[in-house]
Amino acid sequence: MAKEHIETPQDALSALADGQLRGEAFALAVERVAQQPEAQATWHAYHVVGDVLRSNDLAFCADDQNFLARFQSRLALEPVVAPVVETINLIAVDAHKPSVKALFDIQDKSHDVAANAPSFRWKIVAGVASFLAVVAVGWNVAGGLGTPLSGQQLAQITPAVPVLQAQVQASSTGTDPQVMLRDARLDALMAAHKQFGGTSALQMPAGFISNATYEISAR
Amino acid sequence: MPIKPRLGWMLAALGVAQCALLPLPAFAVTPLPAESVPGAAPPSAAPERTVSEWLMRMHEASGKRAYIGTFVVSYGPGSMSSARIWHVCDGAQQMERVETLTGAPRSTFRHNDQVITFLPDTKVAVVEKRESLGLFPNLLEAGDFSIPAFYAAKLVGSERVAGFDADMVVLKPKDSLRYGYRIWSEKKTGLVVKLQTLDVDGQVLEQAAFSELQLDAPVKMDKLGQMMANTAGYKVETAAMVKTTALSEGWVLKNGVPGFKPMSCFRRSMGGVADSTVQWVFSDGLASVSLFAEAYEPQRHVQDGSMAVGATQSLTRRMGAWWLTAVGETPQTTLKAFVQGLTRAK
Repeated sequence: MAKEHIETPQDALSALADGQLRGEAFALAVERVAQQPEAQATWHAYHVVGDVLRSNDLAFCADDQNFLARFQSRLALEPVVAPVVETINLIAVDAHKPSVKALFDIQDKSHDVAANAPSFRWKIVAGVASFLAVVAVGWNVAGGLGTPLSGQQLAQITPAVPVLQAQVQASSTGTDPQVMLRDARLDALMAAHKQFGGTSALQMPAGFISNATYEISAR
Repeated sequence: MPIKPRLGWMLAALGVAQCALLPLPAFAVTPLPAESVPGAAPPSAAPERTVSEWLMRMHEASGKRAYIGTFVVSYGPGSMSSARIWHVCDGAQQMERVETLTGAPRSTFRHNDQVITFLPDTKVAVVEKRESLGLFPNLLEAGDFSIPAFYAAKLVGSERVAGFDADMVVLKPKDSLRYGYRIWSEKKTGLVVKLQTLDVDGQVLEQAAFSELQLDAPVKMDKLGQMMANTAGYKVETAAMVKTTALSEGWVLKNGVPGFKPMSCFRRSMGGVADSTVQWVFSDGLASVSLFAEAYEPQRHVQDGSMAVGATQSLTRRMGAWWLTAVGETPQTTLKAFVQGLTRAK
């Protein structure tokens, strides 16, 4: 308000004390008050004048500069702690409760039904995992899966299993791999594996950032 | 400086197929002994380390260094993603920020095992705790894993990655139940700057690498912490999952798969009240397998089979009233062994 009246720095401080400055002018005035002791004194004086005009009771202000100084020195002593989300506190303890709100609803089982809307989290995982809509994959409808292996056969498993051979051929020879639509549910399971099953000594150096990098393009 | 390595990487990524056709000498049929033979001199003067020593060195590097870099991931021909990485640590704490450069925008922040992912398009922030991130190197030190019994490490050379000289180490599996790895470990720090997963024939299934890297970069932990905590304007979602045990869910693995140990078990809802899926996770220290079991529903569960994306394989089949899916960075034979061994507890 009344910008045309702001000609001197004092005018600006007066306007600041009256709460009339906006935007750039406000920023400049605040910066001056913060950096120049005389400006700070002027700004303080204007406040005292204003207070006195409103009520004599507000005229006792001798100690507030000291208070500010004490406050600033104490604040400087406070340890700087990186503000970090304690995600463990946010993890829902009830599998059917999809949101942080669930944490506060735990005692109230009557909320269960309402909270049971399909897990949004899971949809995200599914969405994340829907890599390209169509992906070239080596797919083998499991001919060999119907015949269970005995324990002895398991022990003798060699890489020369037809299923694996077919895949290796498809990926290495460059012959046209079968293209098919991905199953969203399978994508979700693969994503879940990456997120919660990625248990590897290589996870910390590279695995985590690999997954975090890749999951994106997956959307 | 970054331009040349980046170009090199792009060419490498484009030429995955060609690379894959060159079998690694280290992947000859004869298995290596657990400890490398002293006589087999490595190409450089770097000391020969055991697989555990290499893994520990790589792990410690990420716990001691701050860096900023561009990371590129290729899960097979035709797929390439990249992200900008900020990493900082102060000994006890680690923080990381991953900003994707390809696909939908997405920011992932990690503080030790706590992870939050911001999806700006949907204004959703997904919060999770990844216990597996905190497991190592404790398991490595405690000897819970017999990584040396199933993998052998061999220094096979040195190469420049993202402008840094790196040791090239091959972790060769000693049986056909797991994949191998080729790892580029920065010479001075040990930091993993490139990683390839190799199939039983030594062909590259997927790879990831820094195209550009600034070591000991000025990354501020409190600043990352502020960004991680600032969920204003976002709907915070959490994983709808609950910790459980396989036995209490009625599952037993009859014949375990050599080297793989059960790690954890979760139950999670997948879109309905009655619909819950059990996820049982196994690991041999380097590779992991998830077994998913859910109630069989004829109208939904129609196609069983196997599938591969990069090094991640899946195998789906019906078992009576159950629908089983195994997912892991292992050959199909391994998943098959898992699914065959899974039975209902009597």
